[in-house]
Amino acid sequence: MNTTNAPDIGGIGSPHKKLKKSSGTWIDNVKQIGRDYVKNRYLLLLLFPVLIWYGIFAYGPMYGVQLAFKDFYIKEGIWGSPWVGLKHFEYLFTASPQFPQIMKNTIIISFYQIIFGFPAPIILALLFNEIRFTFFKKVAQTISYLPHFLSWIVIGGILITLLSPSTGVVNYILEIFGFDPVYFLGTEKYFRFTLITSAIWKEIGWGTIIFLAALSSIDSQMYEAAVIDGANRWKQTIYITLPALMPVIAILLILRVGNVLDAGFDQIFNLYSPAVYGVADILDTYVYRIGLQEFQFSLTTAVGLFKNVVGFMLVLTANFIIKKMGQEGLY
Amino acid sequence: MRLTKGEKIFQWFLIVIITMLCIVMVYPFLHVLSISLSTPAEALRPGIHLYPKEISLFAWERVLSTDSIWRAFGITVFRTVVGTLLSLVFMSMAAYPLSRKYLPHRGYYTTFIIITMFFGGGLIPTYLLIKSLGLINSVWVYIIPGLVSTFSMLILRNFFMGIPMELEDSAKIDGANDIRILVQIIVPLSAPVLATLALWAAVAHWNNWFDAMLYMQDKTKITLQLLLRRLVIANMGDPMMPVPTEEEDPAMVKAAIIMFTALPILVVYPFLQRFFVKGVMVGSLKG
Amino acid sequence: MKHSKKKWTTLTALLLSLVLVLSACSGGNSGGGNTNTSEGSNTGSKEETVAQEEPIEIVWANNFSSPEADGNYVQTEIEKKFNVKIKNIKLERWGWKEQFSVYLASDEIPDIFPIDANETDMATWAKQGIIASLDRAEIEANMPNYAAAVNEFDSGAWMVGMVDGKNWGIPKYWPPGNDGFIPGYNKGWLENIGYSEPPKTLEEFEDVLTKFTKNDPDKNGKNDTYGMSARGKLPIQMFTSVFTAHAVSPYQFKLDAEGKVTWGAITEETRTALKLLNKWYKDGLIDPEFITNDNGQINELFVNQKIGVVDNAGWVNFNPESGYVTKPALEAGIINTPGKPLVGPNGDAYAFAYGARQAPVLLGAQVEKDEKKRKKIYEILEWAATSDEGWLLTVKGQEGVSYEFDENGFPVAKPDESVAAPKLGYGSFYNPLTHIDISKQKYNFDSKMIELRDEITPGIVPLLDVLGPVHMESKSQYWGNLLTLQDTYLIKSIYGEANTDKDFDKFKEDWLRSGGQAIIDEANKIYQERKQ
Repeated sequence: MNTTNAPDIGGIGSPHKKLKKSSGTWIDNVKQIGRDYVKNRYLLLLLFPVLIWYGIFAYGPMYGVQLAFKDFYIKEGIWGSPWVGLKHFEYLFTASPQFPQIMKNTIIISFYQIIFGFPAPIILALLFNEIRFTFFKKVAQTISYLPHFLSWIVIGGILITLLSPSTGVVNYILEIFGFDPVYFLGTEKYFRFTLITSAIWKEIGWGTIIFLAALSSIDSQMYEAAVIDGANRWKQTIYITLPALMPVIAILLILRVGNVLDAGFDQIFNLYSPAVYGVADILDTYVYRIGLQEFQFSLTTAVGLFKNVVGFMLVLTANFIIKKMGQEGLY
Repeated sequence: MRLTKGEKIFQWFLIVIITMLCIVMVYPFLHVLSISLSTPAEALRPGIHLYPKEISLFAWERVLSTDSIWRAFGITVFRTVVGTLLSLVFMSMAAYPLSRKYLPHRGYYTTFIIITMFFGGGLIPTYLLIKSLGLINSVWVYIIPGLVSTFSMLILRNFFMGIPMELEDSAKIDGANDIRILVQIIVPLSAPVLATLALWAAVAHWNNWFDAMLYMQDKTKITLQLLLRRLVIANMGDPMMPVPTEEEDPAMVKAAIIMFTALPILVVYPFLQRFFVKGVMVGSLKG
Repeated sequence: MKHSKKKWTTLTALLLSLVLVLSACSGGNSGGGNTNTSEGSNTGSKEETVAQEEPIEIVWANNFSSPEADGNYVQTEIEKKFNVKIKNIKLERWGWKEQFSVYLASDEIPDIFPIDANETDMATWAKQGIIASLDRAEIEANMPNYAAAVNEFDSGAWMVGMVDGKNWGIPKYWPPGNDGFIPGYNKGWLENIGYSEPPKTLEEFEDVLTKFTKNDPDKNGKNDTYGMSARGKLPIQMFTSVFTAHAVSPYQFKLDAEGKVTWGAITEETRTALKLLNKWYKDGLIDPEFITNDNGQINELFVNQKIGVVDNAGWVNFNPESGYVTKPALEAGIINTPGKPLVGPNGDAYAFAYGARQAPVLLGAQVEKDEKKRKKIYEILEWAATSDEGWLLTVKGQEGVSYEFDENGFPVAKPDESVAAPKLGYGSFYNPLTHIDISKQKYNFDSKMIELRDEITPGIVPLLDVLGPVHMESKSQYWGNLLTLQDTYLIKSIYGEANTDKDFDKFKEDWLRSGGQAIIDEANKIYQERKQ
């Protein structure tokens, strides 16, 4: 397996070079395409139902984006509602009393998650990789995947029990060591910390899989050569292991940065309360509240569009930077 | 393998660290399980709960004798099994053609699909679509709108791309068409990656509550997670009824519901893990 | 290159047109789907209406006691009696609004809207053109008994439905909303700390809380109790007994010293109350988990002897059958004994109350144009709210099956699960107006309950919002954010992350600046108008 090759996830930028070179006339080309389609009819037969599904379920609702520039009146429908230009965006960026705080919360939580949450599984993977007792390693890995499989609703329920200041085990232990009980889920000071920590706890084990896969494909001869050169474990990690992981890290980082405005709706929605709205209210929870509870669907769509566009640009930018740095990009 | 003294110390150090990590991973579940089996007073005792001091089956009896919980369980199993299987079929149907370099207009089709990873229409148009298709209040609303995960499909496509062409060519000489090749050659070769994607899809199905909340007004067809959410997290009151009238579930009943929802997945995943570890490896790193 | 570019453009054009066609389909379908469903459900009843007129279809949405199945007992009885066909939109008690919002947005407008819609929803929907404006005179003419009952109890209830000079619903109120919250105490604990009866003043209350916390009131030899907790998940119900002793609820409009309307949260009374609560919190009298507690936790803490006071309950919660606190406590051998509102530093003693007025029952805009349907709905609601037959059927179910009269003529519900409200469809799903006709109260409370009420409530003065529910332009614009601001500050100031000096000033300033001033101005305008 060639690990330096990034997964070719995208198709953008690689339009079909396989079709016949454009030498003949326009009609010849159409004929050629027709022949190609007939020849590959079974492949196309497989593909088309899925394309139709995409047409219906992914593209079908896209016309709704126009709501971001309209005032939605139910009776007029989406097409018939009156255009209002950039009104909703203007409101968000100039008038809304909440939006600046919500943007700030989203970005802060997301950045914490990248800074602390992203490296955590890499470190754990490196640790797993060093363990020589195969059985222990396997059991430990299995256990570490466990929380990944549960929903935030389940984990929310568990966290409420564990973190309770009066009956929770975490505060019980803190008190043994002489600390005052801390209300992790209820106070602004600790809420983000709780978010990040619980997210790491949930995903750290699962996150190691992809890095372990990359690690297992490193040529063992490289380590042997390094040992002969007198490199210790630390140096081997720095000079062999980490560089070998770089392509994977690069791609995952692009994906993560592209989603920087996704600070984790499921998690926050199932853990927050009015007491911590000030630090915990993010774009998605805001959208949920104003859309589904306050009936402001146009504003909701505007926020969603803003999120999509920013996310898309971030992915392209991250992709560009990573290519500049000499790594294989995503597209 | 022989280890030097320094390496041995390092190994023990690792074992201690990793063991502690495992405790942190497992303890919360033991705690909740233990509370679900405790008496009410014991359930409120601060401190560590590894096992119930005095076993009370009250909470589990109550949970297991509640119709709505079993109904939600049945619906959730249905959506997980059927939804996962159909997802795999659909994703294979798209991934295979897109993995063949000679597919005409392959780049455009791929782009057509990838764009959907970044842009969507939003809640209301999606709801309108689902409604116009008659999926509101139907259990198929759990399955059809989320049939294909683009990310998973691309991983599958990447895996298919790595399967040597020779196998396919020889089958073609024998007169097999692409559909037969997919079913008889490609799919069997892709068992690990398909197992991984199946697990992803199954976990997503099991844990989803949002679609049930939006599209399901029929209480008898909601999913287990939504029921759990309503029972455990979102028992918020509202001003209409100033004085509370309903009885709330005590802590150990809530704990039992949590465990009831979590257990099926916890029991299943260790057996699947050898597939998914292998699957992630081959699926994501093939160029 | 040139050619491939061309292909690219043609293909893009193709794709785009495909998208447009598809989306046009889905856009168009939603309108069509509407008519389809109504046709579909009409067909079912064709056989029985040979000579009769076609039954009118009524789409009935509610989020209270939603029946399990369509075609339940109460529904079929109503259908038979009024020659209608009811289509149920059964919403959840909690979280109904999310479902209902998308449902409305897809242009499915029910004929009767859910009970829990509030006056802000009403205004939004009125502006959206999806609810019917109803002529008061017409309601009075078609629902004479009902209108008489309203005018007798509170003719001001008609004002709640006014938006832009029109009336948007059938007035609704809920008299128990006038019964305030009163504190309940663990009787055994009170005795153990030397109180023969519940505390009367705020000072005594503080003493009780202190002793509940520090004097081992449950005599288990452990220091594991708090004085009280609170419902932080619904801050309007949080520590009401302490706020009302200062003659304020942070969530109500009140009059200031100059007779002007102001908002409770920004008054000095609230500051003083918060200061006291913060002191209690620091002294450890308050369960620190109050921040995220809901009734379930409060109930559990009281029953398991961790707290000794619950102050978000009304007098009905002190009956031995009340699922909230009293019954579970009794089962654990604890008596929850009711106190009186606490007398505060200025001699005020009030019980926080929501008030009886509520947003009216809303009807879908299509009803405005359909006189036959409108009259039919009036007829059904009049019957359900004011006739014994209608009321008993919709609220209590089937005589002899789900309830039976006792010797005093009181309908006693049968405990049998198989005839419970969701099975037969009684409760308040088909009757959003259960409490309008006061004469029906004889069916709500048996003699024991009336005894309990007469024992507990005399002398209790409810603390009510000076305006009650009323539509305000400024409120619909700013309210959500202001409430969040307030919830957060109140909780933070109690547990001490914000102080009650500078931070209170800052909160007040923020609140006024983020739209609060506009709301107070509008509130004063409305207040003045009403006075005239």
